[in-house]
Amino acid sequence: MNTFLQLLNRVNPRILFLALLVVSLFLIVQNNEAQGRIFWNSAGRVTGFFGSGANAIRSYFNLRRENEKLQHEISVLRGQLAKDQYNDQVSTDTLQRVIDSTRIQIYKYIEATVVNNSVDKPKNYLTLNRGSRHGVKLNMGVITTDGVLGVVRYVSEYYCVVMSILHADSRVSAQIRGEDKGFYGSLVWNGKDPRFMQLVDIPKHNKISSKDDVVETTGFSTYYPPGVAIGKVFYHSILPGSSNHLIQVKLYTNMNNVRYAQIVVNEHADEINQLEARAKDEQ
Amino acid sequence: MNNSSTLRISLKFIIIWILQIVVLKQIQFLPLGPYYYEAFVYPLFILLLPFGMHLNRVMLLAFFSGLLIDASYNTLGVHAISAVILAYWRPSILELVLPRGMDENLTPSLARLKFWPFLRYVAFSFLLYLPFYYSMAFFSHVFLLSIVVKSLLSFIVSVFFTLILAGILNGLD
Repeated sequence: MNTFLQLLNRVNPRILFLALLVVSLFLIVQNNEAQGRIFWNSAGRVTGFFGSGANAIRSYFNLRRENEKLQHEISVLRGQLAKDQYNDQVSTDTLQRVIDSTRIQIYKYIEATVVNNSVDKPKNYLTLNRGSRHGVKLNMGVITTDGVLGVVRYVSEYYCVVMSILHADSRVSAQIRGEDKGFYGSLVWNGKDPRFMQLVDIPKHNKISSKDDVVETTGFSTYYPPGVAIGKVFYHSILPGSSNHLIQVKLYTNMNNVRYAQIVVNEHADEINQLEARAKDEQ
Repeated sequence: MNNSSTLRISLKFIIIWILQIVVLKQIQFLPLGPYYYEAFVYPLFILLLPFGMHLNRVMLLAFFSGLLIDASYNTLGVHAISAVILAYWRPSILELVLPRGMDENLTPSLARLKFWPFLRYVAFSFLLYLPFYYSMAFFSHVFLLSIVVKSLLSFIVSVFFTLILAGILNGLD
């Protein structure tokens, strides 16, 4: 006891005073409900104040990382939007349209959406969102509701690339619509105006009577079914020294904003091509 | 500090504690409006400790006596911290009241200080003790008015009963 008292006398009174205050405050806050509530509330406010300040600073320094995270999140969410998803469904009724047993379906159509397009180059291509998975094969024709688009040149599982009719090498077998007309030639593109194509190789002895004659597909190739209207005669002329008409055809399709297309499946294409190849061999 | 002074200090504490807990705690003083108040006499125990007792010892005794009062009032720590505050500044108050000091083995009792200096001693002590006690009891500046009013009301009854008790304890000096 005496050693304790001697030890006690050696303690700095101020330190003992502060120690007792701290102990008492601790007891008050711990054991008195009202004081405890006030204390923890105030303490929460104080730490909350400093905490939010620190948090603001920390979040400022985290902005860059947060941004990157948000960008990532955006791209993930964007991919979940319906319009960004590949619609794998092909409506089958267009593929099986057998009317009766005496009529055999030759042409079937695969709906497709244009996912890429160009008209401003000498050789233009379109990309469609249908591929080998949906039955798209090389050299299938592609038409729209008011014209033709081109011929499939490259096929992958989900996509195909179409050589546009606006392509220097494109030749579409076309004719003037009408009972007494039916002169056919080749529809080509001179690489200038995407609204116009040129119908060539029609001998000049054929009369192009009306300016508004419709130009349609002939069905001679395996690409397009016959009778698909492509455009109308804009004007025609005969170049001096030439034996053929030069007919400017205004396309019905605005190649610049085409959105939807039908890929033409010609069931008899293989047969025709093989037959013609045999004929060619014999020549 | 010899055995007899220890015994006297203990006896004083027991008497003060009995008066505080058994008598004053039961008395309901007439409230002023919504302001109920209490009379505290147990700080007298700290005031009556020997003049020359080491400050550390005074503070420890104050702390534990305060805790004992707290145990009865169910305000653990509130009286203890107030008592420690009073103990810490008791030398300053004594210096204010008794500029010439006194023998360190003696206690600053009513009989030794005479009435007016003792009254000043008690008054200064309670002016320190009560506001602090009520501050600790309310624990928020929101109740500042209550703290001030209750301290003043309690001051009157506390000083009154403390003087009576100090008169009784004169015999133990």
